[in-house]
Amino acid sequence: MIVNLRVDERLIHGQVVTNWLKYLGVKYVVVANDRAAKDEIQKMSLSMAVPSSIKCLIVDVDTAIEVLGDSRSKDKKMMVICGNLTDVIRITDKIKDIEEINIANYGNLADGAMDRKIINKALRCNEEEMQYIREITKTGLTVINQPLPANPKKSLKNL
Amino acid sequence: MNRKILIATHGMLASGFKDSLNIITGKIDNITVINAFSKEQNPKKTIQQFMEQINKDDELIVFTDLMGGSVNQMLMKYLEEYEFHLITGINLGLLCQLVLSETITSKTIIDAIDEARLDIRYVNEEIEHQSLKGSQSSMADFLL
Repeated sequence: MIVNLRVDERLIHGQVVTNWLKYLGVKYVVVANDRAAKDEIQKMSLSMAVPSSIKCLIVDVDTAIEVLGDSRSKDKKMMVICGNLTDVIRITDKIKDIEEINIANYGNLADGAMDRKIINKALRCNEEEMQYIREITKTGLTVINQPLPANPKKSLKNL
Repeated sequence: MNRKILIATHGMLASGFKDSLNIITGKIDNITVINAFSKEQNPKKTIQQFMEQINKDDELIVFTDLMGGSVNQMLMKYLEEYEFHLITGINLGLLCQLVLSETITSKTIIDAIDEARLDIRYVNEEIEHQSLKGSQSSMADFLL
């Protein structure tokens, strides 16, 4: 069961590990990212950033969908991390059991950052990306922007 | 209970920690820093002024850099008069942990310190021996 699907262009980094895993009380993390799944060095550094008490799986998006759809995942509280919005759409197409989608940190590193509109803290989008977000909110799932647990949840329903 | 946090170190380390805490946790409203021996004042007076404004019902947690340093030694004297937690040899991991803890007891602190000790890691060795903390699971192992 996916407690939180986080969109963060940096995947796992300082904020995620320190704050969210403890805050959410999850013991399972799935990083769904085609590029990271093929990069052994990145896989290693991502997994080393996760506490040893947490199980961390770093796989491409299709495999992630397989894992998340597996019956054994049903009663495990999981956090899923995606690096971009199209990957989220690929997942939400097939997986519906997601409590919250947090588009937490996006648009700041990618090319054309300055041409993007600032939506909220740590979230910048161009028109195409805003369309993706609208598509995700159409699924009826809760979509918010909340960079840190200390921040308020900003709903992206009416973007 | 009103939580107050003091970070007191040699030089600007305290300010550095507060800055980093702000980036990672965003929760720094109740944090005071003392950068001892940095510009002017003998920290003794600054520490005294800080302690004097502490109320009985404040939950005070003090973090220092070195056990043997004069900053920590000065603060240790106040343990006789005031009730507070004094923790030395801090690292960022420990600060984050405790700043984000809703309740803080001796046990919380001891557990956090035990975990924080594990933050200091020799990356080269871990990569070499593939003995990764938080190692990647295989799909089968993950779903076990």
